[in-house]
Amino acid sequence: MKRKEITIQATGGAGDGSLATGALIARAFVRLGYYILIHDTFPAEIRGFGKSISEVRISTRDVAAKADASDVLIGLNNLFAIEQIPDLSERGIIIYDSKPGITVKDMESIPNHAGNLMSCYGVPLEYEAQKATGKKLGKNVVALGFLSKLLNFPPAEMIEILKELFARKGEEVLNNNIALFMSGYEYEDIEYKKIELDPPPHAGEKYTITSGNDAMSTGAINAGLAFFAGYPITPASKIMENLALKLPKYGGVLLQTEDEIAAIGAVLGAFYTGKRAMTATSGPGLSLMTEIINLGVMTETPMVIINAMRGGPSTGLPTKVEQADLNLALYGGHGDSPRVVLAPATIGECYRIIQDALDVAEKYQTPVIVLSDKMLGMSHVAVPAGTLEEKRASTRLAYAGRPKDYMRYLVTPDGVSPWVIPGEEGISYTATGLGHDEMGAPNYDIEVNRELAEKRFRKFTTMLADLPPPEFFGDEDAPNLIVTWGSTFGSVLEAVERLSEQGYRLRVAKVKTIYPQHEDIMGEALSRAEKIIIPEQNQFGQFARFIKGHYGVSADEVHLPSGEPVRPGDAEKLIKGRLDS
Amino acid sequence: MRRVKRKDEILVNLARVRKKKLVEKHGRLRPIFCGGCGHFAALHAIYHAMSELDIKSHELVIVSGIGCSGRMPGFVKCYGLHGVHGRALPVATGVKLANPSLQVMVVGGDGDGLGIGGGHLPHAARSNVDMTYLLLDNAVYGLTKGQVAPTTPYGDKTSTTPYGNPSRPLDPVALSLVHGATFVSRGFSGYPDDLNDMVARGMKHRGFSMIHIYSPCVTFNKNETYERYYEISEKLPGGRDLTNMNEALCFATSREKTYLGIFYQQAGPTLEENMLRTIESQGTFDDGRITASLKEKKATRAKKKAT
Repeated sequence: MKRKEITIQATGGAGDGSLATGALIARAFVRLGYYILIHDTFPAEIRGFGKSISEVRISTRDVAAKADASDVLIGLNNLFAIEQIPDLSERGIIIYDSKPGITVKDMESIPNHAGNLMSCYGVPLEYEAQKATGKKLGKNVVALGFLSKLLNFPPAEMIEILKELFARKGEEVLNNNIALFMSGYEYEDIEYKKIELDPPPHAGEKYTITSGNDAMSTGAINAGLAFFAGYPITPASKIMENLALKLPKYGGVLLQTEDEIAAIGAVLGAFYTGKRAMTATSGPGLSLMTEIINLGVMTETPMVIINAMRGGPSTGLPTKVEQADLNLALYGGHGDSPRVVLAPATIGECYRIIQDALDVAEKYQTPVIVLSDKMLGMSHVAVPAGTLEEKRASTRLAYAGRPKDYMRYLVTPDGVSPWVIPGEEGISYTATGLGHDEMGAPNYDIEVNRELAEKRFRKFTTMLADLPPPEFFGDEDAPNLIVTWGSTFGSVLEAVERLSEQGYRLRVAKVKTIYPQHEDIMGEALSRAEKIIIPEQNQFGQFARFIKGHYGVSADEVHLPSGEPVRPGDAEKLIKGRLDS
Repeated sequence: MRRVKRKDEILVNLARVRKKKLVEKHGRLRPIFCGGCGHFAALHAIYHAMSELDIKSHELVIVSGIGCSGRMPGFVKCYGLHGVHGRALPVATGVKLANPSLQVMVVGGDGDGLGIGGGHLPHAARSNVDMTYLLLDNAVYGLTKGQVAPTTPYGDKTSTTPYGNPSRPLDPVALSLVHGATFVSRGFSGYPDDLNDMVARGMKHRGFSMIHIYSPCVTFNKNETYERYYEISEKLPGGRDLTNMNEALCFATSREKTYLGIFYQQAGPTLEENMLRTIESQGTFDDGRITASLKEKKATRAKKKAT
């Protein structure tokens, strides 16, 4: 029987190349015309005995979540492979490193640990690697060769990919890798159970593999980013590394600062001069930034902060997934401190949303926080080539009047004041975090400050037109409404599809703009629903409480398990529990 | 018949012109400092330097933190950014890097720059970002009415050290020297002419200029007064080699005297110059997102020269 999708997992210790194996498999299938989603799991420590896992979901349709189970497990380290066996589907296949002539208890135990219906293929990976190249390295490429045989994957295609990857590392490295691959592909010609996939959905079309971090870096550059300041933190560092390499090529500047406070300070300073600027961080960094974000609110200075959420609180789980920084993003600041909070739900959306963030920040002179997470930031999908090319230009509201009439904080009906930047002749003003009047002069009069505060809030109504509205999926007239945000959307949508097949009537709302709210659209959807369910990956029900409070509705909170990206099966079970209650 | 002007008349007129030039530099707001506050001398030194170096108001950005000195940008006709406590240096770094055509100055107190913001000084200094830092030191937290500060001498009594300061003070001059600042000096509000000259030289210097200023708080510090600073300070000897770091450190760490004057000055590549060089060598797709304002400024200068 042909399958609609297959998930392959490679696992091993440090230096085994499990993540590289996953990336190679994904590349190969994207080349054939399939959709993929790669999710890597790795320990927070650099060296040692941690387990790395690369999970590649290959599908005939666009997927935004991990699969419930893996179909193939490539064990590059047998002890770790045993631990991963529970992740396999009932009839899963295990490829493991057998050692000819040596009987080791642990090796033998792989088939013992496997389920009754699973198939175990012991391939002497390290031995074959040594035979092919004289070195012990490269057992992952041998495994890839063997896997290609199981999947009927044309070896010529794979050799092309190896050429693309290794050509610049010299002929010897390339030839070694081809030899490794072929030794796996040609290993023993007994009859294997072959896996066949439905034909690829976009054969012949060009697709690019991207992560959320990569998409955001490119998106920001194409939106005219001039300045980036940051401090390294998992899982956001990749954005700074990408930009360090690319930003100067486009005439921009990147600065690694002494801490996150300095990073957001420099971003504020840069955007104050009218240049597009941003930073990227994760929970602990966002905590440190809150005071200067607040200064951005008060001085109406734009700034864009990407917060790639990880497991918290405190240092927490730096390489794990959680959606628990929403409260900090929304409320992290003293006083009445409104800021825009955006959340992409898929990797594909990351490119556009960072461009929207920069546009809105500059046009409405406000801080914008983009909540990504480890799943979106570091997982990879294939997107049509060309989706990462859209460009954006400055949205600053310039001043056209006489210099002597200029007021930096002019109270206007839409709340947006014309913005003159340093260097423009004939005008001077001081932007201050103190309470101030329209001129920007410190002022402690209650009436004046109330008027200015109202003006700052008014912008948040005006800007809705420029922010992505919620999207809806499923049965429009369904009595049950599931409201989702962020990376858990993918698995929730799959769960809802399965539940719909079981006869439940469901509608899904995907909220990308968390604050301000598109109240007319969401309010109408919420009021029509008989039951509202809000699943998210935190224990507080942070988004649910926000929606319940904002709209005065009652809703069921679903606390999805934290740590790993949510599997559709888990979401299905938990949502079903709410529907049946 | 034309009347010949007397010499004293000419001098009076000259003084009037000079004063008018300085008044043009005044900001919209009137200074809120107490009568006799050392900060007035620093403020005047800024007006003086702007006039002396012909710095246009729209080309100057003054960034400040919190404290009495934090209000300084509002008293100068320029673009100002009065931010949060202790973070003026990184904010100013962002300003300078995003638009290198601007002249950037940071004004802050000893609590702002050495207490809450102490972690930023080493990095602004070592990166040699082109800006002038006026650190107004009154050895007390003045705006919060007299608590102990990072530069309060050992044993001084303040509202939070009523039995004497148990810690020793920080020395911003020695710190800046070892952190790699390329212009390090110390002035005193009690010698305003020297201070005027020092601030102008600091602003002229390309790179990170630290100007430590003894600026007595007449309201909340009864220990570190004008009289005391006159007593303990001595001007650095003239004719020194300003690039001699060892000598500068000796003067800075001297136990006998507190020296005033320029300790050290050395030319070196600045942070923004290094960044611009990278753009020049790597910027295949450079669309001027950083360099446009710089080129524009150069063009207008060339045009003015031509006419």
